[in-house]
Amino acid sequence: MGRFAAFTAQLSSSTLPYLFALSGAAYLALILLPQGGAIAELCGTLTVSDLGRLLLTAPWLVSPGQLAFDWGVMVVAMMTPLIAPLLSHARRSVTAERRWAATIAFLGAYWAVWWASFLMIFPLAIALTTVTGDDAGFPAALLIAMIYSASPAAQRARNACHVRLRIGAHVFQDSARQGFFTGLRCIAACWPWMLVPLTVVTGHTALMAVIAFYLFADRITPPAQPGWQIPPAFETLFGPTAWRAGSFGAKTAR
Amino acid sequence: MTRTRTDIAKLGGPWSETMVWYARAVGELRTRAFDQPTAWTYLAAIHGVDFQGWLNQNILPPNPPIPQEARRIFNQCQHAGWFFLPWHRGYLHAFEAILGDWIASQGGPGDWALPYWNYLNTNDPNARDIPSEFVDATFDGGTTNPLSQATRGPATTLGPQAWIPVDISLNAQTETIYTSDPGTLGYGGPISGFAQQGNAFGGNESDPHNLVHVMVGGDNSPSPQGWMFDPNFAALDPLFWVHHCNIDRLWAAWMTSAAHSQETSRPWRNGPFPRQFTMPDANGNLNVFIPSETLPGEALAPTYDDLVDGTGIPPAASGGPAMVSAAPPTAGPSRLIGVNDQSLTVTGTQVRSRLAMSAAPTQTLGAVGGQQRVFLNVEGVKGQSASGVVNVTLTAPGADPGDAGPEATKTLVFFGLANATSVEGPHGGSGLSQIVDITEIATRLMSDGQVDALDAHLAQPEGGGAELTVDRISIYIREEP
Ligand SMILES: [Cu+2]
Repeated sequence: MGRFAAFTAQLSSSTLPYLFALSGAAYLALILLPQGGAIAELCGTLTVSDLGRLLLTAPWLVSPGQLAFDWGVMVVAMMTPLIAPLLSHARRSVTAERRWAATIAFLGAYWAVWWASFLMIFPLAIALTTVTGDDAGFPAALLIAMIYSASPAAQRARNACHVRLRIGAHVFQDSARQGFFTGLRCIAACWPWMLVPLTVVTGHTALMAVIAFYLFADRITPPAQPGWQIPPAFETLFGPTAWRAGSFGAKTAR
Repeated sequence: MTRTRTDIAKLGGPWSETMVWYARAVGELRTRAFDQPTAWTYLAAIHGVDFQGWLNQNILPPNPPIPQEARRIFNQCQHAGWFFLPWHRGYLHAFEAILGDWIASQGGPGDWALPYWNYLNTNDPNARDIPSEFVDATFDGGTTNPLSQATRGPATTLGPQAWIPVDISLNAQTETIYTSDPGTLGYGGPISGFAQQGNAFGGNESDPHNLVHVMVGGDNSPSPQGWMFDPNFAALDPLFWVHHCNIDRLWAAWMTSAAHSQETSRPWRNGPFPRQFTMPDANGNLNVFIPSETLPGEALAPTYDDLVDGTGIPPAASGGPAMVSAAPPTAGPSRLIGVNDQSLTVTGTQVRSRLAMSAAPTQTLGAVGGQQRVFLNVEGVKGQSASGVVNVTLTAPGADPGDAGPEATKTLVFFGLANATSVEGPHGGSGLSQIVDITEIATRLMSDGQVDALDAHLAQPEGGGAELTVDRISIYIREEP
């Protein structure tokens, strides 16, 4: 009960409820939009490797606008709840009149970077399913994501996700810069997890929600010394006993 | 059984029974291996551990046994945020219980309690001297004294020195609100947790807590600094515990005043998530605690012999503090009115940074001194030294800081700087922020006429240590209730 109480109390603070509302709206859009969402639909009828072949052989059958739009909605749905502390930082660092400007600049830049990651993640997904075959794509992506989450590189990226930058007199630029770098670092921490939903044919939206939940559990863990470890999200989800292994200790100059 | 914590100076020492048993217990705990939850090194590592540094200084033997729960239990210390006071209260409770258990088992007093160093007691002319029990080479008729087995700086008494030209004070005790609005000073620090990152010091934590750490631990540059100078070594020094006991008592005293508002919102009471506060008990079992358990009347609330001497708080009338929840965290009644032009590097040579004051500065600052307080924020300070000291002088734009009186200069102390700078560690890489009240300075500068800018002149005193960087300097105002 203690853990749950601490969790819900933290959930209710700061901008987090609003960020969840934005995220929820994006999920609704994915489910309710007439086409059902291009990525969702395409994942419902075509595999990613099919799509890769299609792009190479008959690209006019693929609507890039629809793909880009749906990826954008997916990013808003999954990635928005991850940035509450840094959004708070931007909002706290400006005058009340500029708070909306800071918010819009931060979120805009953050979403934009994530949106652009499509150019990296989508080819990777195609490459992966081409190598593994369509049936093995999902377990392969999951395995890659798990191994990466346990790695020192992922911890380094996770730590960087918490770093605040200067928000000075140029509120819009500085907030956008914070959003941009937070987005880049967030991609570095999460990218293999975005391959996973692209490798399934059915249950796409549900899988997205599960992964987004996992990434949230991952992100709220405090910074730690990089090292091989059980992915920190497991400690969030199952308590400290899942968190036994791994290195410790801050290395600092004196 | 009630453990009543007593002023070292009132124990009838030197070497009162309480202090003799403290020394013996420290000696015993130092013989225990690193993986024992009741070992001296284990308990100190709960606060913070620089593993390689401890090996280098032979604090740990080569290849020590590492407890499997190391990642969960070590490096927990909560600094620069609103969990500073409750976390350290739980920490002291665990420490006292472990020592008390061993002391009772050896035939010592069953109600042994951690004593405190009452350094701000103006009734005691020697209050600021490091108590002699922590300096004597031997005790108990010739045994090596474990209480003096610590690396410290040259200072034997607390107070301003050339490299840290500022004195300890009870100023924090007059702050009325526990949780500060953004950019302003509160008693207990800004909100921190997974949705908010504070990283600015509260009033008590800033002065006297940080100042005592740094005054006792520095300045041995460039040889290793004293343990108290570095959060990853500090709790190895037996002096740490009697210092923190006094810090905790200041909070206990502060909470007796009906004029003060103690934080009790759910995110504070329930503590952080997912990493929760965890302490060992005398049997070596690990237990989670939450901040609400540290409030008066709860399980972890301590008992002190006295809450008046050296606390700045008059004897309690009745009723105790108001228990209130913080204002909405992102807004609050505080307002940003000035921000500097760029981030800067601070060395021993003075560097200037200009702050542009926002619209209608004469209006906002004209009212200063009455209902408003003005706060200087030095934010995102990073550096490779374990702790750092910076002098900030405020002047009108273009004015010579040499002409400004000494009252125009504030000395800021950043305890745990390297920790907060490292992106490789558990404290993140955003640096530290310090907030000071500059109402008087601002009032005086404004009285000279309309000012749409201010200059801040920064330098490390006495040529300084390793260079520091400052992300931002800003000024906030707050309407006082
Ligand atoms: Cu301390």
